[in-house]
Amino acid sequence: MDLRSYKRVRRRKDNLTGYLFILPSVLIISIFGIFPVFFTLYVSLHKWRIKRSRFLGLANYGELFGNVWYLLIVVAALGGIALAGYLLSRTKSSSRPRFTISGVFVLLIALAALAVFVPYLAEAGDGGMFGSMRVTIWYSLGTVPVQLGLGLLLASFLYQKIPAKQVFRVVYLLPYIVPSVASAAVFERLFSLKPESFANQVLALFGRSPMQWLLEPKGIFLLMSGERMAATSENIIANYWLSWAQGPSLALLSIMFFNWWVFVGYYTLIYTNGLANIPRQLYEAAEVDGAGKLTVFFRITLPLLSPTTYFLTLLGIIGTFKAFAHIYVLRHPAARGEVDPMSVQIFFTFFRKSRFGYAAAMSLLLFVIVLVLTLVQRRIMKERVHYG
Amino acid sequence: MRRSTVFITAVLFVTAVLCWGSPQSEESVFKELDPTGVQITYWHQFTRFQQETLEALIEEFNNSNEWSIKVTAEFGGRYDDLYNKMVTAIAADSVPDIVAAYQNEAAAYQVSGALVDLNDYVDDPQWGLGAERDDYFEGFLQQDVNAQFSGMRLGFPPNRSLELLYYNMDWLKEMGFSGPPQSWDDFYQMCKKATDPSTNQYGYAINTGASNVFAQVISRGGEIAKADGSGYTYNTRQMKDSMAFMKKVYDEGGSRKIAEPYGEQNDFANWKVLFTMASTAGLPYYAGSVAKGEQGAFDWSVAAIPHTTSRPALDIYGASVSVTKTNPQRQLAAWLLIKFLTQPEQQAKWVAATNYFPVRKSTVEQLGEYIGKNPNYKAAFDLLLSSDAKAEPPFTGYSEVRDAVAAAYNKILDGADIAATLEDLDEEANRIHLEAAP
Amino acid sequence: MGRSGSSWLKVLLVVLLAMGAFVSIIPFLYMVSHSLKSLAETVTRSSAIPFDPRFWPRVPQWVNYKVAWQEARFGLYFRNSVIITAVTICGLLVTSSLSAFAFAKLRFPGRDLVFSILLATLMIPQTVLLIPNFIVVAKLGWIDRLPALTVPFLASAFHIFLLRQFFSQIPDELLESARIDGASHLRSLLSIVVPLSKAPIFTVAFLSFIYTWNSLQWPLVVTQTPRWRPIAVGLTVFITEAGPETHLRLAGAVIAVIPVITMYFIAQRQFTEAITRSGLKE
Repeated sequence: MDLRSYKRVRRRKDNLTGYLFILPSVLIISIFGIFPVFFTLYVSLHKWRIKRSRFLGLANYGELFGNVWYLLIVVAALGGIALAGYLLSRTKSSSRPRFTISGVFVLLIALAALAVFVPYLAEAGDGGMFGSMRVTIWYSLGTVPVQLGLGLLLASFLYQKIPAKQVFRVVYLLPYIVPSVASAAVFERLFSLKPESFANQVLALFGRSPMQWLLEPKGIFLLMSGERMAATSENIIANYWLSWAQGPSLALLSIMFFNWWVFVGYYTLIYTNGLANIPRQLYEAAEVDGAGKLTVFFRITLPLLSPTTYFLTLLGIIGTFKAFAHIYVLRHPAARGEVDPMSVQIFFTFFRKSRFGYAAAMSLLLFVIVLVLTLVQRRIMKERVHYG
Repeated sequence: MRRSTVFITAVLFVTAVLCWGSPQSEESVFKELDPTGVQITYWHQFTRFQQETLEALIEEFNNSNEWSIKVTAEFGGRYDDLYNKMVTAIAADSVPDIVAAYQNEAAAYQVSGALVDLNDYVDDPQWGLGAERDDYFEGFLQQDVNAQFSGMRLGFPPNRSLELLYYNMDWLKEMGFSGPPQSWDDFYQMCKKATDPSTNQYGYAINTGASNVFAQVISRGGEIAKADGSGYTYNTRQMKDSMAFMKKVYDEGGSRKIAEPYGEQNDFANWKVLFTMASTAGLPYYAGSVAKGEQGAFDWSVAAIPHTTSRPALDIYGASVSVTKTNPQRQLAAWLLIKFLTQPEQQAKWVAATNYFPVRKSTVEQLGEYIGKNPNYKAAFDLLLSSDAKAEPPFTGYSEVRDAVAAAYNKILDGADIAATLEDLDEEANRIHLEAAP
Repeated sequence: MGRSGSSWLKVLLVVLLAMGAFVSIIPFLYMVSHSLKSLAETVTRSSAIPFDPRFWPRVPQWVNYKVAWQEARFGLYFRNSVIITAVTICGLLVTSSLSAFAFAKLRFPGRDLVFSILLATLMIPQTVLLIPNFIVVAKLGWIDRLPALTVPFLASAFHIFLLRQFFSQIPDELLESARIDGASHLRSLLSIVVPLSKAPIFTVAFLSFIYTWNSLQWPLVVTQTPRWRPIAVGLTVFITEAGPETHLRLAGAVIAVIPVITMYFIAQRQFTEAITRSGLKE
């Protein structure tokens, strides 16, 4: 056999081996991961009350959004923000004011459009779903930055030469290891509305009266302002943004506490690893140059930790949008719409309402949102991440 | 005409009239069916001693039935979990043969045609109830006939219970009262007197469930659903009065929300709360909790929910059992199990263990001794016989409406405007009703 | 952050860390202390502050554990969880190593496309997967049997990604020389790559252990009898069944939690190292 046909045979054998090796994974992931997406798409096009009924085309999506024009405007506005981001980022590379001006201009228009049309979209479409979108966003905003910040803080502390480091690491990671069903059983009591509960006794230390915690659907800013922010106007736009201004519900905040407790140790760990990868010479050099602790932190540590931060942020945000278990175990029906993120809302649409078609449409919307978020994050972070 | 021809014609004519005109055929629809050796599964919602009793009864059936039918009973979860499980099972065509379901849950299952119309079995000449039909409390049997599905009987009741007021008699006596409250005003006074922040005691542990809301509305002579089945009426005077009353008691500290599952039961057993409102099915549980309480046993019982109506109007409810569409043999076997479980001897055993109400009058005779020894059960049973029993609507979508009702009740307790909240609730309930229609 | 720092700063750090750790443990202390109380005590004599004597039981009711153990079939549930987890981990290691090796070291048409598609599956929300997977599993007749709890998890894009990252760092020359000596790809994988990859393989094993052991929603739906019920589902069912008996509910929770904590303390070092290398949030 000559060299060429030998190589061809070997190439074919290699290909065969390659396909064989990936076959088990691809098979399983196709059946249990990819097929469901298409099946869900199929279901979303029908009226499906546990069993299939009639074909509806895009009617479920229509019901979800209410008004196609509002949806298009909002999507265009979001696109506008992306465009503005792009234009503004170009100002760094080129010194032409053209980019800054057009960037700002596009941004302002996009924001105005959003401010006006998002409330109309929410009004026209499924209020429950838009409410759960708001809950999801609050949940994400309330958990990822805190976990990142606390994780970084603790990792920095634990990086110092102090005794019992390993003990602390172990203790902080413990909540992550334990089944959430078990910890939820305890948290339910710690955050109950009884005056003797842990949360209320802490409040008592500060001289505040007991609150309802997991049962409280009112927003925290509303509560803190002494309930002066109550909605009275008939204006759709004002009402909608007011509901945002009231903040996440106290029930959701309680669930956030639970999530911090569970995940902070995990974030600490990842950051610890990130810190360990920073070469000591950099610190030593900085010391020689007489740099203060804070300067060192902001000029050296943080930038070099950016790949870790990017990774954690990405995973964190995707995780919060997908999250189900850690919220479901603690949610109380009294708080209902103010504590259910999209994943829980979809769950109830499947089971409580038995509206499989409609729930499938919501699921796909969630999937698309997660995809878009991922892509956006990759774009943004690409420029900020320094690989040292 | 010849005489014989006339005679024969007459005979033929009479025979024809007899055959055509007879009210029902003498032949059973299921005549050819043979359920021998069939194996079926039953998903129930009972735990602990209820589960033990049920499984003992089923064991008895397995050993004694003449067709060698074998039944496997599985705990499918409490009502919500069982419902979710059943929905998934129907979606995947992997259903049990018998499942416990509330009337509106059965309706939800029937939207996809998953259940069997039990009228066919109840009325069947060979396998049906026959003469025993009269022994059943007709009101109970009627609850499972569903107008939304043209009168199909989607379930059969193995037992029933009432929503009643649990009260601590010793405590009432200590405060100078001679008996449980008859009117809502009595209730208010008693709650106020019992409330003492220094000892952490209060009058009533608020049950925010939709069944309790229903109980309050009917106690004032109202309704929550339109008589013609076209929707709900949550914006009535009785509803407003109920909510306003409860809010008043709450604002004055006479009542508190329930902080954790069964918190009210534990508080009751430990003299923290004077009144709770719950199902009579809780009687054995309350007895158990009281025994384990800090102060040990005390005099307590159940009474009618305070009412403005002349006779007490009480919420009668209970899960029935539904039979799923599988194949004729299994469906018949399932029906035979149901018949067995509703025989007076089995009913008597079930009632003694669970304090549910039997669905047949003749069981009462068998229970004489039990009733004599258990004054609380007797009190409950007497109420069943002397009050106006009303049932919640079996509409599809009612599960979701119940969620909305509980949320609205909580909102009102937290200070929302009653009129506005109820208007919203009424609107939402009726929207759900339309959305969920079969 | 350097090595220097006045000692008062260090003391401050230790104090802060200790306070944080203490707050972090309170839920566990609560779980244990209240599981040892009698039912009446959990109602009448309860506190949330560990310094308050009412936080602790007057007389520890160790019998609660015995009751909880007997009432729920924790022994069976543990056995199930162990089997399910073991099978899943083994299967996952096999499929992930094979795939990661192929994606990292072999060249075949469509390789990168397939890899990207697999990665995209990581963004799919759970609820999208629940009902279709249930229908598939039901049609295959696996409901309430071991395959339903294991097969869907025998492959995972995330673990493939992890291993591939590591495998691609292994120098090609090592593999080439083996090829020239006539070794098959499989032999190269087993005798060269795997021994070098102990750390990431250990990572995969531990991550899937935590995930499988604690997983609740799927097993809840596919098990109908106690036969193959794993510990997380068993605990959920027990908590429902225990009803008002708070002390038993918490005793059950403690029982469910102890094995994981024990294993954690034993394998601490590897645990933390494993999780660090991965970055999986849930």
